[in-house]
Amino acid sequence: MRLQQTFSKCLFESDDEFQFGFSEKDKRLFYTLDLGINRDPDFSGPVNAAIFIDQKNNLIISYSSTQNTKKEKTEVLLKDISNIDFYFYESESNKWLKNKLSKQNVLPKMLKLVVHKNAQKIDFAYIFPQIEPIMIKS
Amino acid sequence: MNILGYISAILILIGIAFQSYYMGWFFDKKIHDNLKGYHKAYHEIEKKYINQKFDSIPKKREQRSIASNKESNFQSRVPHKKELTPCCMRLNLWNYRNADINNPENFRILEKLITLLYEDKIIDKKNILGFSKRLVMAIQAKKNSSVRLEQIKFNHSQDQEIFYNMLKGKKGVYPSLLNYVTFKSSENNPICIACADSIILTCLFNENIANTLTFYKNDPLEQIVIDENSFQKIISSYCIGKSHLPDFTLKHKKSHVGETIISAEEESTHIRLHQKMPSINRARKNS
Repeated sequence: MRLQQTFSKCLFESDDEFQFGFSEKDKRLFYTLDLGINRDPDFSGPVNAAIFIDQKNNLIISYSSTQNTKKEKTEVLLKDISNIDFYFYESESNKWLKNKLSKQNVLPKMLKLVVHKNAQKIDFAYIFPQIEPIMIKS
Repeated sequence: MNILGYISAILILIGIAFQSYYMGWFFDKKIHDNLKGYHKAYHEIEKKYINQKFDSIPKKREQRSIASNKESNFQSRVPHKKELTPCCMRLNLWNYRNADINNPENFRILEKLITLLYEDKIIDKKNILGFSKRLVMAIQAKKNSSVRLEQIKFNHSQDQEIFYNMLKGKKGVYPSLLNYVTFKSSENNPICIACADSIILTCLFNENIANTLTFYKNDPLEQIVIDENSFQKIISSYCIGKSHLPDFTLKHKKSHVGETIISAEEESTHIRLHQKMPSINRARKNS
């Protein structure tokens, strides 16, 4: 639910501050979202976000200011996570790409998260805001 | 004993097969539900957009009495144009970036706006002038042209809290400052009298002039149509010289905002969509 809220605030590709990428090396998803009006001006408007597993095996979402302040804040989404897999849906080929983006800085249509917690797999699915409706090829 | 082993192995295999099938089914259902939510939210946006487009069709005006027409300084009205979120109906705070902060006359309009909207609700009367000055200073401190109003930083946390409350607004108590101001980088950005909100007009001139100018407006998004001579007559009747006023234009200039954002949230999946759609005027021109 928390991630659905942040993904629905993702910036559009036409926005100046937009970025969306995935680092295959450390399985880190990073993107820019609009946090709107906040008490802290550094975390208002467009903010950089990253989702990854930290050294304490927590699934983390971290926010950093786009205002060159080096300010950062983190939120623990899930604890005791041993691994995570990101699947990005590519509507052109109707395929889920595992831990890989076909193009950096292009908002994918959907994201499937598979979280490994205590030898158990937990699935999550998210849809990113799109200018055009998503077409699924059967 | 062997039979028991076989049965256990078969049961385990069935269990594994069932689990993988179940997990697949469960995940497909999640995707299916989310897609359903997404399309419902998208449909809601389309519905809202069509409704807004429908509402923008000019309605037939009611005939006004001849007496009220005579009293007016206006020329005959042309059919009104509506535009969603026109940025020129708001006061552009970007214009304050080069203002001399030692001259209080430079932020008289901003001070009046804060007084009208927030006096004794968020801020005391005696602090308004000082706060307006500190707001202008905070705006001038931001060098980056892509900065947004909500990212403006004050030196004192008290000012920051006041500004946060102004931006947020409180339903039924005080409006958001964002309904009246904008922060768009532009070299020359005169205030558009044709589109300006009546509160902005009150800040620019006075309440009586604002009432005269907005007399024929049935809708806050409707434009004021007035020629230079009629406008001069109005402001001179209140002893206001044009030289005392900030840079303004009587005619609406084409808005830079070519699109409008429409939002919708689907309740069961909490999928929230914000779609940029072409502004109603532009859509009409293209169609």
